[in-house]
Amino acid sequence: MKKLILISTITVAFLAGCAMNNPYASNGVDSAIANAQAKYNKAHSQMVAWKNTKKVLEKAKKLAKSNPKKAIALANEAAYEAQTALDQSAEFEKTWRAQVPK
Amino acid sequence: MLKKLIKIVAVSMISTTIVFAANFNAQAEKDRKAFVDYFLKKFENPVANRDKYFPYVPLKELKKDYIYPLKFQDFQDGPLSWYRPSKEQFAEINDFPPYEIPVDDGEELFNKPFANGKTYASCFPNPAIKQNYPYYDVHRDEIVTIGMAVNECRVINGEKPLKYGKGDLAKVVAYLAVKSRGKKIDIKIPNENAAKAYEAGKKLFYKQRGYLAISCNECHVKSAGKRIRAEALSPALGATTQMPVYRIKWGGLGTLQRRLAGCVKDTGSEKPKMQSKPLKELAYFLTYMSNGMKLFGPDTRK
Repeated sequence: MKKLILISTITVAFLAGCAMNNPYASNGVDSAIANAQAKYNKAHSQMVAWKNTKKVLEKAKKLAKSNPKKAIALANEAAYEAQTALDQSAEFEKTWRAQVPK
Repeated sequence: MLKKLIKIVAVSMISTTIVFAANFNAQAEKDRKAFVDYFLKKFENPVANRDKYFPYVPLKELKKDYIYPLKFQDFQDGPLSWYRPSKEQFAEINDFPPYEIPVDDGEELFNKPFANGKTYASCFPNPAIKQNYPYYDVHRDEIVTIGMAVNECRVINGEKPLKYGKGDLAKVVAYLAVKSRGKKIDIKIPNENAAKAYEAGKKLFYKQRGYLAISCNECHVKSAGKRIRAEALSPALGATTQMPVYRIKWGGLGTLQRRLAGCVKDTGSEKPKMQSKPLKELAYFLTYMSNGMKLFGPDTRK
């Protein structure tokens, strides 16, 4: 009996853990897209967004209902691009003056 | 006594104004001199200066294909200024310049009356004006481009504005460019906000961007005088003298902003909108760098 309870507990805990970490569970698409959109907006407002990021984000939005797994992958890609654009801009902000002929 | 006092106050006010006015472009002038100096040194003798400026260009190519020494005004020709094969190729193309028909169209548009009977001449009685564009309008507190001036002329005469970058607008600008040929570029920095706009344009020019992490500077200063495959990279000095330009790739004329927007996109960045503030600032900075150079546009490019 004890064994059964232990196994059941472990199984329930495992499944619960999976459900919590599963990005495709309810609302995973929405939050991935919202995150990507926020980062893209920030990069766009600073004039540093990369040229494909918006396209990738739009594609993610289109696929949100029909193919959430793909939509999340695309949204994460867009978020990554936007964040990298912001990071590189911050980095180049420190160095661009050294490029001006003296 | 009172007369003396008034005189002293007036003189000191005028001198203060002059000193402050001069200060607005002090940094820009320093930048411009260093910029011009860099290009003159680079193209003074590419063979002798190979180690410093052209370490990866074969000596044979430097001796055979490079034109040097280049003088200040030579940079009006862009990539054709230094690369003999391109210069010869375009000399043949310009036997019958492909921009001539669009310029004729521009002249026709310039003289064609609007619905109210007036023409562009009501706004531009002397069409030789391109040497002063883009300029910083202190009353509007913004940069005014020649494209904006053309469209504003249309609007005050009750016409719809034209699409920026190409088409009829580029044709009218090309006509104004022909009328301005030989005039020296004369861009001014009249106040603090203009100096800020200049600095913003400078930053856009030198700061790396896009997924290629390159800047305008990488190709058109550091690598000017080198090739990307068969393409000769043009020097940024003099780049605005040839505008608007007839590009074979476009199959028509395009304005400076169209070219700049394409360049920004080529770095892997989002393409800026025509007449957006950053694009105007970039044009303002770049044109200032060629101050004193005679206008030559329009011209033909790949």
